[in-house]
Amino acid sequence: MAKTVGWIAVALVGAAALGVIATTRGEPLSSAWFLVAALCTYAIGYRFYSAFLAAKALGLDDARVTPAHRSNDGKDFLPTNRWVVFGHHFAAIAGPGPLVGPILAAQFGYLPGVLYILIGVVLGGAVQDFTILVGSLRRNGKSLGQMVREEIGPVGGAAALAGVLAIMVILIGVLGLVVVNAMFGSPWSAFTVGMTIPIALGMGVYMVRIRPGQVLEASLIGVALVLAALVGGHWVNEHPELRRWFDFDKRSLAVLLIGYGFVASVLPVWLLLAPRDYLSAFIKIGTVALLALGLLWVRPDVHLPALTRFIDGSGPVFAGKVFPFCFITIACGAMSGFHALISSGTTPKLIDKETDARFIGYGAMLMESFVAIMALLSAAVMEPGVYFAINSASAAIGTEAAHAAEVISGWGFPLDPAALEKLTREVGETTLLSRTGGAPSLAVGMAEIFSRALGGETAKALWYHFAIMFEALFILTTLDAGTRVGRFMIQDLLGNLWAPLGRTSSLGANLLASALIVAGWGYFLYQGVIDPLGGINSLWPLFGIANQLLAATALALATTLFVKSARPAFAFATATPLAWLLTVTMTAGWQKIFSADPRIGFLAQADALAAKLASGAIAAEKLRETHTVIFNARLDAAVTALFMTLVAIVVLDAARVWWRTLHGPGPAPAAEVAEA
Amino acid sequence: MTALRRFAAALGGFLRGFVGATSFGANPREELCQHAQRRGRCC
Repeated sequence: MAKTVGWIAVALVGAAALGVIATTRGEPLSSAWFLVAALCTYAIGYRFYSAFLAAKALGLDDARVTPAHRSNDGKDFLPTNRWVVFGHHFAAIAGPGPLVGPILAAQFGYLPGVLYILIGVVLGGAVQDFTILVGSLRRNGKSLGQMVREEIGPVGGAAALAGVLAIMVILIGVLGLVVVNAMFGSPWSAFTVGMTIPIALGMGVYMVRIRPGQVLEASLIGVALVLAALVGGHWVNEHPELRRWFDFDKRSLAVLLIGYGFVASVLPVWLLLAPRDYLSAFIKIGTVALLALGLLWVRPDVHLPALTRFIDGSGPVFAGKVFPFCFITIACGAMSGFHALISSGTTPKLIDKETDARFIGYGAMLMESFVAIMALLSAAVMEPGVYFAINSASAAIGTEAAHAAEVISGWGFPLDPAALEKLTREVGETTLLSRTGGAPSLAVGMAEIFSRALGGETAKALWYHFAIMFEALFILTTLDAGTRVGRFMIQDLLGNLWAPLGRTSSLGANLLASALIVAGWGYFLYQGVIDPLGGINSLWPLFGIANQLLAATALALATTLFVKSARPAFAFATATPLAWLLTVTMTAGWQKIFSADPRIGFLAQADALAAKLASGAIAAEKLRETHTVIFNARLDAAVTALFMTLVAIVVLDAARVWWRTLHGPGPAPAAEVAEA
Repeated sequence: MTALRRFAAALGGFLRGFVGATSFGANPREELCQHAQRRGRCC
């Protein structure tokens, strides 16, 4: 009885908080309402919907032997405490997507983003992660690609594998662009982030050569050195000669990142990738925890309106209406296709009991969604004028603070150029204008929250660069690990053509595959750097579409598993988010290719530039670059069409299996492992 | 006290898993020692 009353209270408090968020207009709103609404929604979703899925739809049963017990090898397959697996799974799924996507989507106001993050995760994203985890758990830890091939068919399987590789290339390219946009013309950021590379190399040598196995020692030294680099960055920034050494433009930073990705892919893991990854883990979890505590402690007011005029598609951060672009922009904070790769990767091989899958698969995704809510709040607590000054491309607001303030004030978001310049000085930068990509505005928001909790105005610059370092580490960890994974995937493919190219120990094959994967994402990164609309406008939607289409592949597989099981009626749990994702992503994809608005449609953008070229309106020194931008716009249209085609193949192939199963002579056997 | 101990164990497990998800694996010390021993060094 007491429990029932308690849960009714949680539901009522959550509903009240959501009601306040949805109906408040024109008044400051405490961020506490958002935190309460989120936590109550997660509690209800976890307690009731995930319990329903676990007990009724999936029928979790601890009598089933998990792969960790069946194939226990003490290394990859190992029964592990559920909290440890939860931490492991969360670390693997928590990429930079939930930090960046909600910030960009804030151009529509806070309301669409908050509602989608909460509803999307409870009914879609967490369901996807959970059902794929259970599917893999019952198939001895098989990967998404293997399951699609076995459960749907070889055509769908091949399309899914090609899609994963293509998505990886786009993802790394766009994340590289976010880092470039955060660090250009910022010696402090470039020095601090750059120093993490030699620090990681030093840690690698220390732990392997100088004091083998002394992880704690090396970790303490590494963290101390990173903090010293953060403080040292301020000194570099103030030094007239040294600041020039670290003052990079966007193109130079892009080339440096491409070089870093190649080196990280070729060098032994122990030397750079592993210690860097390890060092980043402490900073990532520490900062996320700090942000949660900071928000709870300060509870700043939200200044962004619930809805902005840009829901009509005229937004300066990226073009397109709230439907479908809000949803593909938020992506990972609500649903992420990449999580299906983790849920069918290392996690199912570590789970001790089948019932742990609910806590790990569903629960970790709720935590990721909470990170997305915190990121959205970091943007929403800023003055809207400042938010748009940071996130609008220079093509829209110019490069002078006074002009930018005039344009942004004209949009209905008053901006005082003197206040913007004061903020710029406070965070220790020379300009905050057009630092698109989401990372700098998140850093400004975090610096605002942290400095109010600790250090005051004088510490704002330090907190800003700490936040930039945190985001860059998050992204660089994904970039170097993703490049390496992509290299192995390419070697796998090349090995089918000529066996020696598939040998991971061969230096020549390693260099070739590394060069191919780096050239792939490096091309998209460079494309973003020279894009006249700032790059994010083209590449983030491309990434969002790709990621959500991978989620559609995962949900098509999960629906197939339900249809083939003894409980086909429960397929609605995955078929409903699948239908939503297909509607959103196919609409967004179609608009990105064919919209007549050159800010949205890739082909229209190419045609508009081609017409300008033909009329002689392009200056002679810009001719070559314009030809490249036209080619890139057409390439982006082709890549979007490729993603849509691959997913259409998978879903149609899956629908064929559903039809045959439901209308055939009897249920087709699902390839679950027979129980001991 | 039991609740506090349980919370500490859960948090410790979570952090161990979070950091263990890096390329070093769940037990970095063991990984590194094996690496060193393969190269004839003691650990």
